[in-house]
Amino acid sequence: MHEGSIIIRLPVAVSEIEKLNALVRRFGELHEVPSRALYAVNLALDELVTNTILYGFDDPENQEFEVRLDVSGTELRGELRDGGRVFNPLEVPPPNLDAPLQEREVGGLGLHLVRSLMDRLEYRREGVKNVLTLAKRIR
Amino acid sequence: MKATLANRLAVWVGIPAAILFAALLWFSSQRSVRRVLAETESKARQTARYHAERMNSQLAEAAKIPAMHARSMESGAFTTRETLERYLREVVEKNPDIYGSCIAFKPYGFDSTENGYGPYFYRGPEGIDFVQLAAPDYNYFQWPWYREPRDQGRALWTEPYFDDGGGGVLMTTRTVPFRRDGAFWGVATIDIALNQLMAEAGKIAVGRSGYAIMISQTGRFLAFPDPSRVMKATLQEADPDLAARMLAGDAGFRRTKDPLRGEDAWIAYAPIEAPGFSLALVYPKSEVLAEAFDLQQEQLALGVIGLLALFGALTFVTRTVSRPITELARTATEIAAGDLDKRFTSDAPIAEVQTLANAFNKMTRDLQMRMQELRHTTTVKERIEGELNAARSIQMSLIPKKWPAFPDRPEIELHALVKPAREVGGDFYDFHLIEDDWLCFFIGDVSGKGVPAALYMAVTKTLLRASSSKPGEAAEMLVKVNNELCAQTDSGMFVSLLYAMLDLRTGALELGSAGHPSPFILGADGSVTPMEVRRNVALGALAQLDYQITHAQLQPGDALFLYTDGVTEALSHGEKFYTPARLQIALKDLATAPVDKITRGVAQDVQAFSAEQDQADDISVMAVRWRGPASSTHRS
Amino acid sequence: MQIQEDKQGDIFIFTISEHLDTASANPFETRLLGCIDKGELRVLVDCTPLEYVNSAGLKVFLLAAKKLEAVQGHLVLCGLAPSVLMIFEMIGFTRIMRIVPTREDGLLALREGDAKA
Repeated sequence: MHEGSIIIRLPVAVSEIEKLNALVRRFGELHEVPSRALYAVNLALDELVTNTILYGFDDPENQEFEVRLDVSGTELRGELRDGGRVFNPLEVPPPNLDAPLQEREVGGLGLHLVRSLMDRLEYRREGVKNVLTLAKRIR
Repeated sequence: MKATLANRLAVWVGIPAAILFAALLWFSSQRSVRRVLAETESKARQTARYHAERMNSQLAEAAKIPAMHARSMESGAFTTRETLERYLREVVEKNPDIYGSCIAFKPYGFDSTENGYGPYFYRGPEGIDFVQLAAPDYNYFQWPWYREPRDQGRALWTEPYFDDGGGGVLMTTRTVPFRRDGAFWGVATIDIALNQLMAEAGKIAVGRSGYAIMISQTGRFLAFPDPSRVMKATLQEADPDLAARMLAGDAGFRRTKDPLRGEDAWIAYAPIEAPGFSLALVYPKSEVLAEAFDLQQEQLALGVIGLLALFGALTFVTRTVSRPITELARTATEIAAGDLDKRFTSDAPIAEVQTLANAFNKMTRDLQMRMQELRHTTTVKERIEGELNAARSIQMSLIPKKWPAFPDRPEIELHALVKPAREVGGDFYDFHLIEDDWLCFFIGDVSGKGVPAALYMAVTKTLLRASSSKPGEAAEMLVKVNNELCAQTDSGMFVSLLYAMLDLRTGALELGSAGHPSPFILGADGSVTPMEVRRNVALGALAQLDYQITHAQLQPGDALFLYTDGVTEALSHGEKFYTPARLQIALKDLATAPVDKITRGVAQDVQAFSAEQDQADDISVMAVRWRGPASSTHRS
Repeated sequence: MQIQEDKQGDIFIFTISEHLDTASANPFETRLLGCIDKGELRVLVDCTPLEYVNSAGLKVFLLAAKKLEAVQGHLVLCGLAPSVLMIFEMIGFTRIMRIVPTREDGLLALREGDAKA
């Protein structure tokens, strides 16, 4: 594991999610992040960014989102910033995991995954931006 | 000399250390030498004194014997010749140190009938020999050993001499006078053969190549490495100062020339007090120094070894630093050659090297990450997007978008819009009032695409604004603008333009078309009439052209609809053009609508027509309605 | 995203590829739900090559499971890698879907006609 950080800025478009994944994976590779933590953070960012892109903007044209990745001594940390509508994923109620098949709802799966995968998840609003911080322990 | 770490250390650490070392070594060895020399001197003095005293005590012991003789005689012993001679013989026998002993009487002293009696026993070649010294050919009364004590009235040691009478041996005599009835009676003597003493002196170890000298009380050599000078030469001849000191009975030390070879020597001397002899030990200076020099060499050798060790250590240390640096340089070259996955590792136990390694690897990682980012973000498509965005910004900034255009001129209703294609096509429009009574407006279409077209549009618009004509001067203006455009630009682009000047009081219209489609008149009664405006050549194509103006007349409530060929040449899915005919049909529905409804309505119709097709060219429309002269309309 | 389709007896087998994410979920949804609409009742999805799945892909499985249950059909998933299985567990799919280790197990489960959730 090597310490390091990177800031990725991409346009708000569905086609950019794959690029984000590739960059996150490459970052993890280069900094020798344990594969478990990398997988979890990558998937969490995928879900969160997808949400932002699909539902965060009235007019996503010329908008961008920013992902900040940080490997430090004990954790892999990500920070997602976007200028879309106010949205706190922590407020979304979790799905009912005990419900039988026919009563299971299709929505909320992604955010539940994010909550389950991450050790730390924090939301705050900074001016006109949503700032979501997520972290996974790597030691 | 290469500026390597090893060399720098050698110069900045090694050389000062070596100099310091050498200086320390020098001082240390100097001190050692001095100490050795001091020790040698003191040892020499001690040795000289030791041997001198030993010899002295030997002689002092022997001197007791004649004293004993004298006392015996004085106490009346040995009254007969036999007893005396027997006694004497025994003494000589029992004392191997002495050569001989004699008791010599004054004339008629022992026997009143005999003129002299001097029994003398000595060690002859085959045993104890006897000689009667009172012989006709041996007048012992003359000899110093008889005369001197008699004359001086005390015991003494004689100056060494060769005794012919007793055996031709070099000896010295201790002679003690004795008395009878208060008067001199005779002397008792013992002889010491000096060869023994000399042999002893010769045996003294004086270093390796040194020697001992013994001199008599007159300075004559008694013991000397060159036997030929014994008893013949004196020390005064060789070294008067030394002789003076020694004869004075001093013990001491001198650095001087040795009496034998005349070379530099160190001489320690001590008196053999009894006979008044003196002993000197001669140490050749070269030998003395040799010892000190050996010591110095030893220290020097140690110093050199020390220095070599120092340099060895320095080299070792530098190698532990410079080797990783060399490796780092090599790894850097490999990375620069394209092997970005390479990392630098070093097991050197040096913190700075590890820090360097970590920083270097981080840099490589960051570089690889950057490359990944670039791969994703700088596709050709996005570079073009960037450019297109720039062009669009330029275009949008050049066309007025504030509506209503003339809020305090109710006789004018004006609206326009541009729907730019993905690759900006260079459409533009503009309008302004001239002296309150004329409205000048135009719509144009630059021939190229993208940033160049947008820039050309900017130039054109500026020229048009600057050359804004008075009514009646429209033709001249177009000529001027055309010439200016040809002069100022060199891009092969040109611009089509429909220029209109409306007299707001009368509705009179001047229209100039430079290669541009003619507008439609939308009557207040809902009619849609295409106009026929004289079509001149587009602006910027060829200089020095003439431009013709067409005149028309608007009725109050009429509107003028201007557009660019992006409208009429829009393509549908089936590759069909929108065409002016269709435009006319669309306008029919909108003829009496408010101007912004007209423009938007047409734009929407065109877009619906071309549906999912990529918009190939900018779509621009403008609608201008004249409500009639100002007095007949509301003034707000 | 390459999805292989296969039929063994009356068992319809999908073999999906490495990534089932937002981009590739739609085509998969179309084909999987489409085949159920066409009447398939025994469906095996072989997830052996699958390395990465997100909620878009998971949604497809949920929809398919519901659709099949409604017509008394059976859905079985096989070949899930540990990291993928962990995801399924996190959202509780292991309680509502039949998941077996290998393709053979999957075929067996469907042949027995017993695909209890």
